[in-house]
Amino acid sequence: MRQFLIIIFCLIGLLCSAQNVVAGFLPDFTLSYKASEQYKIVHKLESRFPSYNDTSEDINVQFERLDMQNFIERKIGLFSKLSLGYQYRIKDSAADEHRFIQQFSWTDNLTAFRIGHRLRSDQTYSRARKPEIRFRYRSGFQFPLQGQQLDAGEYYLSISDELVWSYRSPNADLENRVLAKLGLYINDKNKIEWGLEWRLEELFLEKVNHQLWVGLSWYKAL
Amino acid sequence: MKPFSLLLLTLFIFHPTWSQTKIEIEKHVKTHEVPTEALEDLGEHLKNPKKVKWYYQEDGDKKVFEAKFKQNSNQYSVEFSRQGEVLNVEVITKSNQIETDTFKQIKSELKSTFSDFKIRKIQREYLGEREDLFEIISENEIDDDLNLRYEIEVNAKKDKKRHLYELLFNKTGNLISQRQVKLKSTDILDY
Repeated sequence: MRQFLIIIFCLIGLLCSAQNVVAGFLPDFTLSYKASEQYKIVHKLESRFPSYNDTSEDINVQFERLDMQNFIERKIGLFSKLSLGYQYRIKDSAADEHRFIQQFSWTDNLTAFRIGHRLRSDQTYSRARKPEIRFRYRSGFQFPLQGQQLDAGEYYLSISDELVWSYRSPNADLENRVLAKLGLYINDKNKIEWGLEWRLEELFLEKVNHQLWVGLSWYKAL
Repeated sequence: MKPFSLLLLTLFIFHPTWSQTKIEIEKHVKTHEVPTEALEDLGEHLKNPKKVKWYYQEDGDKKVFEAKFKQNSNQYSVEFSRQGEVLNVEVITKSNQIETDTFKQIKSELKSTFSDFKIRKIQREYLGEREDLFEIISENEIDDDLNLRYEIEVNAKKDKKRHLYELLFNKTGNLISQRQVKLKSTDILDY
C-alpha cells in the first residue's frame, strides 16, 4: 500500500507541473444482478466534477455531467462475456446525449493476478453535435495485496490502460487512459476502489490535453 | 450539485454488508507468523529458504500454512498443520509427465463426468512420512511408500452449464472427489 501511495503522489506532482491539465472528481456506482444463468443486468451511474483552477481565484469544483448506463450481459464462455448497453448523459451546459455501447470482455486468471481485457465500440448522438463513433481497448491488471487470491476483506491493486480512438466528422482523435486504483474487496458483492485516472486527450494533435481524475467507485452486486 | 448529492446519498444509504457464505480464505503471512517447526524443517531442505512465500489457508474445517517456492525447476506447495507438522507436498506437473495408462484413465473419468472439458492445471499431491515428503523437495526423489494423488483443475461443461472444477484422482487415475470452484466476479474488470 505504501508503494501505491508513493506512485499516486509522484503522479500528482508530475501532472501538477504540466500544462493543459484539467483535474477533478470522478465518482461512480455500479449495480449488477443476474437475470438468468447466462444473462446479467448492469447499471452504472458516473458523474464528473472538474475543477477549474484560475490562479486569481480558489479552486472551483463544478458538476459537469451524469452518465446513466444500462447493460445486458451474456456469458459466452467461462471467462468471456458479450454486453450491449445504452447510456443517457445529462450535461450541465449542453444538450443531453444518447450512446449505444457494444462490448466483448474476457479474463485471464493467472496464479497471482487477473488480467481483464475489454473491447468496446460506441456511438453517441445528440441534438447539438454530429454523431461520434469510438473504438476502445482496455487491459486491466488486478493484483491481490494480501495473498495469491483475493478474499473478503482484502485489498488489491488495480492498474489499467485504455486506448480510445474516436471519430466525429471531420476529425479523428486518440486518447489514452491510465488508471491506478486501490481496491477493497469487501466481499464478492461489494467492492470499493479509489485512485487516479490520467487521461491524455487529442494525441493526434500537437497540444496534448492532460486530465487527472480522482476516482471513487463502488461495485455492488445483488 | 443535485446529481452529486444523489450519488453520495446512494453510496451511503446502501451500506456494504458482509457475506454470510463460507468461502475459502488464503492470506499472505510473514515468516514470524509461521510455526517455527515448519520454518526450520523446510529451511533445511531448501537451496534458498528466503525465496519461499508463506500463506495461511482456511477451507471449511481445514486450517493450514502453505509454503510456495521453486526448486529443481519444479513449482512446489507444501502444506503444514498449525502445529508445524508437514501434511503434503504438491508439485505442478504436465499431462505428458503422467503415466500413460493413468492419464488415459483420468481422461476417461473426465469424459464420463463432463460433456466437454479443458484441463487448466495439474498437480501431483504426495502424502506420507515426513522424511519421504522432504526428500521430494531436496533430492527430487519419490519414495514408493508415498501416496500419490492428482489434483486437476478443468474448465468443463456439465448439464449444458460451464464451470470451473477441481477434481482429485488416485494414483491409477480413478476419481476420488470433485468440487466446483466459485469464480470471483469480474465486474471490476468489465465496467
